[in-house]
Amino acid sequence: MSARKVDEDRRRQHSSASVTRHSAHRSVIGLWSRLSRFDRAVLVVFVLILIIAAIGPFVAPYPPTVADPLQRLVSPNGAHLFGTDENGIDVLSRLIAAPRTDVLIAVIATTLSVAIGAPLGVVAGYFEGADRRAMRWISEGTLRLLDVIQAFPVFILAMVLVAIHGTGPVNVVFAVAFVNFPVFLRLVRSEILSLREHLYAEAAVALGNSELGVGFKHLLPNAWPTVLVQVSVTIGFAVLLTAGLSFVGAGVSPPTPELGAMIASGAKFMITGQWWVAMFPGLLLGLIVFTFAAMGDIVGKLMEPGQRAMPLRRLLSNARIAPAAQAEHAAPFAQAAILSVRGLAIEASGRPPILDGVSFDLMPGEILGVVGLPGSGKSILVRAILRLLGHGLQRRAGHVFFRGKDLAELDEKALRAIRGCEILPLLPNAKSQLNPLVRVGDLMVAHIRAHNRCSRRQAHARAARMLGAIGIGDVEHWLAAYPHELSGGMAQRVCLAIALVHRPPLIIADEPTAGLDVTVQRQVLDLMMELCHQSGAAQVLATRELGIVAHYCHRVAVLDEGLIVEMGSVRDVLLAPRHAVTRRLIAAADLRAVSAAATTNTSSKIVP
Amino acid sequence: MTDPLVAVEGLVKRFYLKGQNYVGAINGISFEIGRGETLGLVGESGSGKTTVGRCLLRLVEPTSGRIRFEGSDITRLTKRELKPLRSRLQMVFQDPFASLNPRRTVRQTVEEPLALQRDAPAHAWLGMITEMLKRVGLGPQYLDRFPIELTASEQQRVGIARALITSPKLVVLDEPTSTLDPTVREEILGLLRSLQISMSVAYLFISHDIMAVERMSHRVAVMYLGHIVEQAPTAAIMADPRHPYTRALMSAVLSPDPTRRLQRSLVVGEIPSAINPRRECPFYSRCPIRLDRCLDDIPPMAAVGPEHGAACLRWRDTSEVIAEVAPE
Repeated sequence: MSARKVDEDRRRQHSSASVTRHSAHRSVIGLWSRLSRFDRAVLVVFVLILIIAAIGPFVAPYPPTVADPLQRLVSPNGAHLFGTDENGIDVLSRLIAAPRTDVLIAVIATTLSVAIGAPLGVVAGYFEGADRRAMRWISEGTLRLLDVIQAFPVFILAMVLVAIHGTGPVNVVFAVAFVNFPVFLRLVRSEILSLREHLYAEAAVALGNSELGVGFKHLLPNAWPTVLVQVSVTIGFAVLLTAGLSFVGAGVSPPTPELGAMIASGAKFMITGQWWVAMFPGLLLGLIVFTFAAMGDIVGKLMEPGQRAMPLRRLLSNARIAPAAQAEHAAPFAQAAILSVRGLAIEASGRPPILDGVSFDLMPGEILGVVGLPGSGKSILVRAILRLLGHGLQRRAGHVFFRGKDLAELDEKALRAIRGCEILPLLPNAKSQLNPLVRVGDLMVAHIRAHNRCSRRQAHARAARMLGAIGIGDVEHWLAAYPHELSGGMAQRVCLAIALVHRPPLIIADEPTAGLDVTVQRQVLDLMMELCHQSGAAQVLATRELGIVAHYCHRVAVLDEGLIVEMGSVRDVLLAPRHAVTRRLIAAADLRAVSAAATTNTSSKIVP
Repeated sequence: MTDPLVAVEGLVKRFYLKGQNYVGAINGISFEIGRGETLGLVGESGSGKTTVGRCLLRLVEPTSGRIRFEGSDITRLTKRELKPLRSRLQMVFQDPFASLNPRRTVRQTVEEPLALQRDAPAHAWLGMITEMLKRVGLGPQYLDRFPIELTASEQQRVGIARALITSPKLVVLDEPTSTLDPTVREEILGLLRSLQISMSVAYLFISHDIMAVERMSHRVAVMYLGHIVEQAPTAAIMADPRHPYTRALMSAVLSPDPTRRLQRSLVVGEIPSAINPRRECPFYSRCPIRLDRCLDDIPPMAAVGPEHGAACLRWRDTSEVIAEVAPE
């Protein structure tokens, strides 16, 4: 069985990988189409600025540094679109030539600050709280030094630096780099601090990497996306700083075309009415700074993990017919059933369907287990019933009738009234579902009052009764507790209490005991079934543990590639499976049978 | 055991909190692992089993006790002295995706141990990687893929290839299948077993799943709250568990056979806090057959049979007593 499974997996994998490649390729082409109109405009301006910075001086209509005293302060006209300055040089030509100075200084300075800041950030981040004292001191010392540097206003610090070393482009580069490197140091440090908690960082240590090896080889590359976003923003800021330094005469001096110096020399003519000399450089400066800042956002958006081509777990052969269409016209919903799902089909836009015409009925008080291989659509089914899909999934066909109402067609308001009151979801990892800032009691009271008209006090009393019913002692203590004080089992019980507060006739559970210890899992399951039995609630329970199905469900549905391939009473299906997938699931669940078959050692028998 | 591969004696790990308080993650445990053997370490979350694995690799520093590997004491080696040892002492992690660097290809990931150890010439690496990948069931087309392009099963196979490429003597398997689907779990366990035979590597198999431990291990140690409460060859412990906690773990297993009657769950509540543990039986608060004298001291490991020990005062008649207090 394992050989076949491996084979099948590989085939599936092969197709999925090739599709991933394909979509990754497409994503490069489709990059443009994913941008909003505003982002596209920013991108165009950005590229234009870069081109002008590269070739500006060569395409300017007039020489940008040659004075012509006869043409002093000519107002904008046909020959000089933006007029001329006090030396009679064409303003437009100087504007076209100027970005080269500003952008070049900014880019070099920013690169320099990354080159200094990032490695120091790795060291500071990785050694923070280290065992060895020397390392902690390095990390601590670096940070305190930063505090001192950053305590000075950036501009003043840059001015002082230039004043000490003299003006000129090279000194401006160093000054701008110096005031910006703390930004990257802090950024990389904070990234490393979170990245070093990742399991792969520990794996790298286990392989024998040195501390710095882990920091530079494994963590820093994962910090680059964040750094790149900041680089773009910082270049914009560096342009502004360069221009500012030149404006006060501490940076690039005339006649080199430079925006800050141009604004400075034109400023005095504003009063006398020659506005064009200073205004156009000012506007261009604003545009450049804005564009680089906005580019930072775009870079960030494109680097989000969601934007990368994520492989869809399950990609099927394209030669699939759509049985959904036929199922749609099958039987209408069963009258006695509390839940009737008819021909439900869910797809991610443009991809093969994830659910492909699922139909079943659930009687009041019945517990239906949903099992299947990974990626067979279990969780999607559970979420589709409650219309909690997201991530670009849509219902393509089918209906979900709950007490005769079609949930699929219901408007949001009516659906909200049903969700959380008549149909309750139970999801895995209860602890992460509880808002960490809200006390357990407040959460329960809010939930009770959301669907019931009653006073806070009444709601509180009811919450206390509920917690008592699920076997939590010292009720008042736990009502006042925050979620982080609860253990996983306790949190799942609280979720259960919340789910059952309105005595819902239907519970939809997806792996409700995932992540709990075995002895705790049993307690939670026993409790869940007992409470459901008391209130007569029906359940749809999706799980990967066949053992849960065998002992806690009445019927079971086996999903495979979005279809129910086998459904029946638990005994019938598990004892006499007809479909290959069911047999495989049973074989995988019964490790004991596998080990008995695989080894000759059969002496180990379970002791009742 | 004559000349064990690993011998751990009186291992203690405490995480100190503010003031005099500490978390007793491991409270003095001893065990041995022979060459090519698997010791299954089973326990629930909070039992300290993962910390044991980390101490063994010195990813966390043991507070006291001794770890001997291939006859030499490695408890106090410096990081530098430890480095050559890394090729013989490896680890496979719980979450296969999280344990792989997302920006490195399969080839870069599996190559790293070779590059760090430099035992083999660089031109031989590619051949070794391809060979290792083949052994874990991945073809050469996987070399340039990124972790995100792999299924969970393939990711864990890459993790295994990375751990085994330097032919280690011992691999710590820290819950290698707990995040995987049952169908995939079976595949990975089978792969690990066949690799053990062909590469004669010893495993410390850490898991909360007593069924998986039974399938994988030659011997089993059951951990609870930082103590080993029972230790025995797999067949012996499965046939005749003497500690009530071992029984509780077994009774909590849900068999996929609906005709098999569900055993009553033996214990209630959850594992207590490990902060400032008292000198008493660690299982006292949840034990169905506790006695007052269990509070006097930590019960000693009683010799139930050859290589079978249980740290319970009532080890002689556990099953009878349990049958009385918790009838079927």
